[in-house]
Amino acid sequence: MNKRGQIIGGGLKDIIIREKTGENLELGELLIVESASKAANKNIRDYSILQIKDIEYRSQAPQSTHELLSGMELEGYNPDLGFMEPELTNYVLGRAKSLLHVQENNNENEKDKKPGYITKSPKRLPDFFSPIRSIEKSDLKFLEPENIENSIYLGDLRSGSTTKEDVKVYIDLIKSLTHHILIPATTGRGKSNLVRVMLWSILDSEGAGILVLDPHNEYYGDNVRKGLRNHPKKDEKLEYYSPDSNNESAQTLAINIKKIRPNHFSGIGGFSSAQKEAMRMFYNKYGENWIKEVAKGKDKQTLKMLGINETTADVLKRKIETKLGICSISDIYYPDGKCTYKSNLFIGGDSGLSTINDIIEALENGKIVIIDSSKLSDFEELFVGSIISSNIFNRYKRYNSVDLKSKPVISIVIEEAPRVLGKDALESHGGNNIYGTIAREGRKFKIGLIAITQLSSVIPRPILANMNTKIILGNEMSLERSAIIDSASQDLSDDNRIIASLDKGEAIVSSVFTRFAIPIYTPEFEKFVDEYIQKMPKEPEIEGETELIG
Amino acid sequence: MKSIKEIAEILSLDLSERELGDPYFSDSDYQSYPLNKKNFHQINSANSNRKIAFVDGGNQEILPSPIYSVQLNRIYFSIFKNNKRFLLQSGIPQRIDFLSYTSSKLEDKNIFFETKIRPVKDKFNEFLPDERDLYTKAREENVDAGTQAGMDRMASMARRFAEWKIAEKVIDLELESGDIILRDGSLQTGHQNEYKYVEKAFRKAMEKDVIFTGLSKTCRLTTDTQVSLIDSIQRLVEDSNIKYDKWCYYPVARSKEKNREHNAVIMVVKLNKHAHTAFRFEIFKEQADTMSEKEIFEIVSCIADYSRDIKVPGYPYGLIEADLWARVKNEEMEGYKTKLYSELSRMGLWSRTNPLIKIINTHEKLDGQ
Repeated sequence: MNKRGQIIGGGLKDIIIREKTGENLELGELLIVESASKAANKNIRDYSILQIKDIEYRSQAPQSTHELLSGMELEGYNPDLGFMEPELTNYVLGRAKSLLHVQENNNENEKDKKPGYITKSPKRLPDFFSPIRSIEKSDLKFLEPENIENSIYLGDLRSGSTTKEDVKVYIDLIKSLTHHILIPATTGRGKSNLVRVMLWSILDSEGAGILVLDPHNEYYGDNVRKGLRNHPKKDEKLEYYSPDSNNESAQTLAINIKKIRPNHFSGIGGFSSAQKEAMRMFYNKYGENWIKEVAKGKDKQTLKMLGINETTADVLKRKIETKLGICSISDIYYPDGKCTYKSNLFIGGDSGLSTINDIIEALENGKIVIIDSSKLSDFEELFVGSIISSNIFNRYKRYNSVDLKSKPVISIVIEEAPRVLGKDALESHGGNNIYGTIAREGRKFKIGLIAITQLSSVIPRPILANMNTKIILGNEMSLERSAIIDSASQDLSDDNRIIASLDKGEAIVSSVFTRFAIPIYTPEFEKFVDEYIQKMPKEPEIEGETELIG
Repeated sequence: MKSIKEIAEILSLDLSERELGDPYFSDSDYQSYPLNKKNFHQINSANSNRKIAFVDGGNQEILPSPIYSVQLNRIYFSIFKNNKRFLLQSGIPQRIDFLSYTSSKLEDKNIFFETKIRPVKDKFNEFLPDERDLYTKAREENVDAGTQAGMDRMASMARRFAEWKIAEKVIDLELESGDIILRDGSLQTGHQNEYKYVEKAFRKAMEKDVIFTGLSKTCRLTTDTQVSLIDSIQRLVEDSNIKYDKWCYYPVARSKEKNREHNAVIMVVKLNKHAHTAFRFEIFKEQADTMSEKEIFEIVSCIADYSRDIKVPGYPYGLIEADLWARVKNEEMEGYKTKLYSELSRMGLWSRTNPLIKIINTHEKLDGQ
């Protein structure tokens, strides 16, 4: 056994380990301590997983002695003094937390069965003075999912700064997606890379449809950068929409305004209660043409009949013009007014009538739908998401429990989540939007969110707590770390420094579906894809046809 | 405070009036040499391959009373070579703990002390002294029986004997020709039967050609003008403008043939430039007499090479470490005390022992006020 150190004191939350000289324990490192008391039963292996939370210097000599010696050396006194057996006098203490207690049962009478694992929250201390060693693959077999097809790959296990490439970390696809995933991190810590790896893994899985609102157009990929388009199953499981009609890889994202309903604006776009009321009045009167009628404008008489204040109607008309790019012109040919559409996104006529439905069908068929929102405004992006999400939410809500069971889980990837889940977004202008609704009740209808954010602290606590899986990447901001730690599924109160010190690609997975907060390293997407493709079984080469002569 | 000032003045006057003098031994069993600056010898690095074994012991009283004493005794040794710890080859335990019970008895108008010893582990038995050697007359031991000071001295006898016995075992089982054994303290015996153990250890050293030495942390030797010997020699360094970083003042004295209690050549050594004091150092005389000065200084050099630890500059690291492990600490005494007291209580003896403990404890209680 490669002894890294020895337990010499402390408690469950603060187990003190003396480091063996030169072993260089690392912050966040995972270590194993075997239980000697169970060693008598050779069929049961009993061990605890510890994680280093802090490291400090210690010495048997007083600090003043160190200062004196240092002074002598620095000032050039050539002291002819030092420490005999310095490794015994000066050393390093690590403070570790007991993460998990594992019992592995290898009962010989049940040879056909796989080893059974019982994992428990640590309730007792490891044996005093026990040696500790580095964690190995065999110590983490209990992490292996029963069915990889129903799991999301997040990365490789990380112990301190060492990545265990042979230990892959997965979370359950259905459970984790319906219970929402939060990905908090500051810029440049690898959020997009993580999501790309996750989506790639979901393309290999069954049972989930994912709507991705992609404000940087970075998930699908292009001729320069790899993306999900490189996945072997992209034809059957991936759809890509863009409002840019020049984007040849994408289907055109055009939404006919007849498909827009007043409730799609709920909590989005900054409409007042009176304006929302007016929208409903228009919809009640004009049905699917209500936006057109708003854009055309109405005379006083009509507005009075509708019960809408003239000023409210004016403001609503102006907002529809600016936000959806729809306005009306009247000339001799169209004395009643004709609608014009400034963008390709919201259109009239007979085009784009099926877009929303097509997307929903794709999601219901367990596909990933990427919407390139890089050329859309903030409002347009969230509004498109709102239209699709509202439709899918209402559809799933209508299913009876038997039908719902057979449907895939739907998850919506939303960047800069506070735009729709922040306190301001949820509290101003009367309130809740579809994203908030999904965050609160989507789980009942197999709909979830993958919310990405730099600012977890502005998301209300109940919603933050509802995000049952958090993939925490590096964050320098203390306030943000506190918000994440306070709402994590495991007790991460000692992990503040660890989170602050996470490098690019390093993360901690805290989930109600993992037995402990698992440190991971998510491989670089490009490298990951290259390796994935390399490992794929090669199709047998078809030999040239044999030409029969004679 | 006026009285303090006056005492300080008296002290100052007394010290300034005293000449350095020459080494002084009250009995005639020593040949001493007048102080002379020519006796200072520079110590250089040894570059030697010798092993050095460091031995020390400690004891503390668990159950005190004027008529008996229960002690926890501990002996520790370690071996170093080339400034690194040398792993033991023989399986001899490096630390030996044993309990001793010393009591006084009156027989034919004479007061006798006897000591019973029990090892903490059975395997320590072979390293402990014979109980018969621990039976001795108060008069011959020159102690004031019935006093705590007398009891303390007699109670430490078992530990001292064990130190010699273990030293003998270490020489026999771990050391080779040319190696050194360094015990904490003088090579002088302090008890009636101690010479038996000392002689055995010395014979074993002779037999295996292992150099037997002792280094004393404290030295009560004086000069004939009643100035501390160590202080005199240190002052002589200044007066003679000696510039050596490390030195050996040799010889101070050597014991005479007839001296059965002390068989050593005595010198004073400063083992590191930064040492706060010099120490009394001794080599077993029969060995020293066969050695040239160069060989003697090389032995000192070897020990000086181990005296660079900044925790106690100028004191051999092996003895610092031995002191740490041999010392019986107060906190560990509590465990033994509790067990012994409860056992005495279980046997119905507590009511008889407790009053005796209280007699001694009163001092501690008053000190704590």
